[in-house]
Amino acid sequence: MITQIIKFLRVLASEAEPVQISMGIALAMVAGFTPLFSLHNVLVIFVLLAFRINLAAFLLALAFFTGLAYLLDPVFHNVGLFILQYAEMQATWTNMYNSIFWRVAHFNNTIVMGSLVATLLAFIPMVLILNFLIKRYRTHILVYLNNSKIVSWLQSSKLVTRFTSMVE
Amino acid sequence: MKSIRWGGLIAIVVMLLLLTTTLLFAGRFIKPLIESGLTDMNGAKVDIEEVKISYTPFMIEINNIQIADPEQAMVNTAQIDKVKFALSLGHMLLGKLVIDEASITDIQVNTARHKSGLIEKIAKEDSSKDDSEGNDNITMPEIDLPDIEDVLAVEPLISDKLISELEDDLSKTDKKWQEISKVLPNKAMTDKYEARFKKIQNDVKGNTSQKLAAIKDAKQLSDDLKAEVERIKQAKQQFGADLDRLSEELKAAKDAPALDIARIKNKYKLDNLNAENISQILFGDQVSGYTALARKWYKRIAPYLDNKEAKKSPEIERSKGVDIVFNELNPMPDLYVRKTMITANLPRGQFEGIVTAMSSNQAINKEPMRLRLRGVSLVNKESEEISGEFNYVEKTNGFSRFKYMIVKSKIDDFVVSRSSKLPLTMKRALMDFNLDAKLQHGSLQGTAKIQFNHVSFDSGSSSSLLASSFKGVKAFNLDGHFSGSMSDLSIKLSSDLDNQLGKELKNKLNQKKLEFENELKIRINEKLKQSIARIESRKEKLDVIKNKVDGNEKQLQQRLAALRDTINAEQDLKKKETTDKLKDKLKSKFGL
Repeated sequence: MITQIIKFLRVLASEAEPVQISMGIALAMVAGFTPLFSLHNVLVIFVLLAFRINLAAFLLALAFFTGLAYLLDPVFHNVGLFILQYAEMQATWTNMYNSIFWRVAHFNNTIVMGSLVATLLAFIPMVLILNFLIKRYRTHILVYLNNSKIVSWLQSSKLVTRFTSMVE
Repeated sequence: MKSIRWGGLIAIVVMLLLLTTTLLFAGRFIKPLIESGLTDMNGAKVDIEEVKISYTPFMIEINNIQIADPEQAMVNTAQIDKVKFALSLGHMLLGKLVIDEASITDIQVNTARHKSGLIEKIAKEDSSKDDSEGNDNITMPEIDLPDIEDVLAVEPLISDKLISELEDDLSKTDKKWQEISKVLPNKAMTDKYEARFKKIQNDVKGNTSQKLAAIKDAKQLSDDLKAEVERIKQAKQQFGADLDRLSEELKAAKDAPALDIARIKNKYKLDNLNAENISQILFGDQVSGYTALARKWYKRIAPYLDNKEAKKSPEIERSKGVDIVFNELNPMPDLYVRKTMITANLPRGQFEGIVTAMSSNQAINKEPMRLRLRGVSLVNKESEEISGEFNYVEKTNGFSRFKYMIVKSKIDDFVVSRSSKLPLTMKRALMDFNLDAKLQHGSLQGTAKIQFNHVSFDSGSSSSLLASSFKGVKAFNLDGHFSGSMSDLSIKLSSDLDNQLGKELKNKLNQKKLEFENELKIRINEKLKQSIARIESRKEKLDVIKNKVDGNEKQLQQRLAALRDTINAEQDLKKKETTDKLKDKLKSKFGL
């Protein structure tokens, strides 16, 4: 846990663009909340590999969101069930059900539908919020911490140096 | 361009290349998977030489499939030269195997294997064989007559017993009569009585004192003779009773053979011999063998007839969610083969056929599976056709129907029975066969009609009555009616063979029975003849004794009567003389 926090702090402190980190975390949210072996996750992997998105942030966030997904599955199930049973949408779902692509995408599964809709709705706000937060962190908190005596002392401490090298 | 990660793109290209390569060589990868799956289904090894996959259109071709027989390690139940089918890729992506057209080319059965087809599991379970083993030990009915020598050797005869008792009685009677005869008047005694009688006759002619003595002797002789006659009468009474009893015993001994014959006939059920249900006995085991074979194959295919897909209950696991099912425009079951063309090269000839609408859930595609297989180049028969319908569209009322028809099939040297009592071979025949069976709600109902024409039976060297009856049979039918569950099938066989054999057998049997009876009578009579003759001879001797006693009695009676006459005459004479003397005296006194 400490390792993960240290790694995450390092990512935040790295020279990576805030958008790369926030995109990594947002994509991890999609892959983590939805069932891993779903067709849309192939697209997530493709985007992740083809574009300069922070992989470390993605992997850390994926572990976090996957764990969180177990708690949220009942919520996603209810959301998915509501959407899939929504009367106005039945014709659309039936047409999609008769399409091989959508059947392979497994859209008719309550958790797939619920989690995907929830994460897609949260995706852009998540990127924007994370961008804002990372920028704020770097300009205020990180600068303040770097200048503080306690951080200077910790950085010079042999114990902390050994601990961080063990973590690495 | 700064935002693109070139290394990642290369990784994607590499992954796509790997995927393409995998698809190109998919045949090699899926071959062991198919072999393993089919082996599990078959219960013995299924070997495949090659699996070819093409993608435009999406086709799979499987060459040289060898399906080992679970019960015979070095034999293939079937060997298929080629199985080719065009798959719907779209349905396959949905986890469904939908085949528009398949062909199964050149099926051969019971081909030899180069290596054992047993798998370890089966080898261990080999000891627990099912009940499909045939039985050549037919228990033939006891229709032939028993051997007379054997019967007479083991059967105690009443005649023998009665004769033995009669002989004992004769011996005792003879001894008793000899004792009685000793005290009866013999010739010396009768001569003595004769001499006394003559003396009395002489004395009567003498003077008065002689006459008086003669009368006294006559009275004494009369008493003696009366006593003798009384003894003779008692002896005669005894002899008469003995002779009556001996005659009755002799009559019973003479009648005993008839009783013995009746008892032997009853014991060996000579009157009950017939040919009823011979067809059941002869063909019952053959039918049981075919039934066991059908049961074995049913056991194998039953799991696939049972609609597992329909019974599948939806999974409602929270972490996996629920799959909501919408109406499908063209619903398809998990497995569907629209049409399969089959060609087979079997020892009985070449066959071709078609199977339509093979489905794992007929309720979805709403059409029954049908198959039709017919012979096109047959060996020793005019036509052969198998057709079947497996209709489980309505799950609650599903059924399987199977029809099998053979026309004019030549039969040569068909072993009907290997029984030592009746080794029977159908040397030649022309057979028509019709089977119609329906399996519904776990119960099998059906009929099998077989007509045999131009039949020639051979019973080898057997001289039994039943075997000889088969020679007259030129045509017969065999009808089977079966019903019940596959595990407890009741089969009833009927045939006009029973009637035909029955008539033939009845005539021969009656003749044989008559001969047997006569022979038995002769043999028993021969056996008893000497004893009876001996008994009759001994009885005749007793008759002679009785006649002799009768003669003696008659003689004594005559003498007794004569003696009585003499005494009476003498008494009358004496009375007259006395009367005359008295008259003379009266005349002289009174001067009359």
